[in-house]
Amino acid sequence: MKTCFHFSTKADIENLPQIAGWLEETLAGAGVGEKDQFEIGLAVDEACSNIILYGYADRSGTIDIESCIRDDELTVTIEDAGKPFNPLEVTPPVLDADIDHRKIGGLGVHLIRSVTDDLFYEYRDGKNILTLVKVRGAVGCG
Amino acid sequence: MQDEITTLAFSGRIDASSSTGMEEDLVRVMDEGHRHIIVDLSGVEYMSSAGLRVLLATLKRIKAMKGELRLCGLQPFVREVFDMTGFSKLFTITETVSEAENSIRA
Repeated sequence: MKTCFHFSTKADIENLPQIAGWLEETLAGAGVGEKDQFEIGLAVDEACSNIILYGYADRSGTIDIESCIRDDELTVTIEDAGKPFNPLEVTPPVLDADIDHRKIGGLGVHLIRSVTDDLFYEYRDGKNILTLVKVRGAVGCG
Repeated sequence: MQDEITTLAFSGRIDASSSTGMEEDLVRVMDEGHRHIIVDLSGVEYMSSAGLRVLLATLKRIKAMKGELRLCGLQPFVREVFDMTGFSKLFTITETVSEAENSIRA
């Protein structure tokens, strides 16, 4: 069985908690475990932060999110009409660099990759379409 | 005294919308010359890379000031974010504020 939920919001940094709240509510309502909720929520938060801060930068726009829950898998698709940005092309950060050589950037996309099992990106009809896939943890251990 | 230990506690969600508040608090304390800082994260239930960025910038500045920075009280999901990014090894992390104080004075 597959259940999907939609959410659309203005791409404003102040709306990040609202996006997180919506996602948490839909996932919890469908019985998704806390760890899975946290991890897919982190990926969505990081992706939406990038869209708001860099994709739309100084202009306004909307973010459309669809979250689909299957017995074994969560899929979240995020669409925006900001600047084309493919997170799959971001250079991974050097995680074992010492403090003097540790770079401030690149962590968001690294976290998205870390907590998802698959990631798809396409730019179509003037829109960035990012799909996050997460295999659900064992029931009861979520 | 500039070598007193300053403890700052944060709470709730630290994402790209709230990390600026945390940054302002830390920058203000460092601007005042405080260089031994404990960041109590026991009330923080969530942190994204926006919060990590603020803490990394703080660590770099404290190091330049020849001070000490300690983080304490990380909740499990915050700890997971630190582990996934290698931040657990970059920072000195303790369970409690008093352990953090002791490790600065040691």
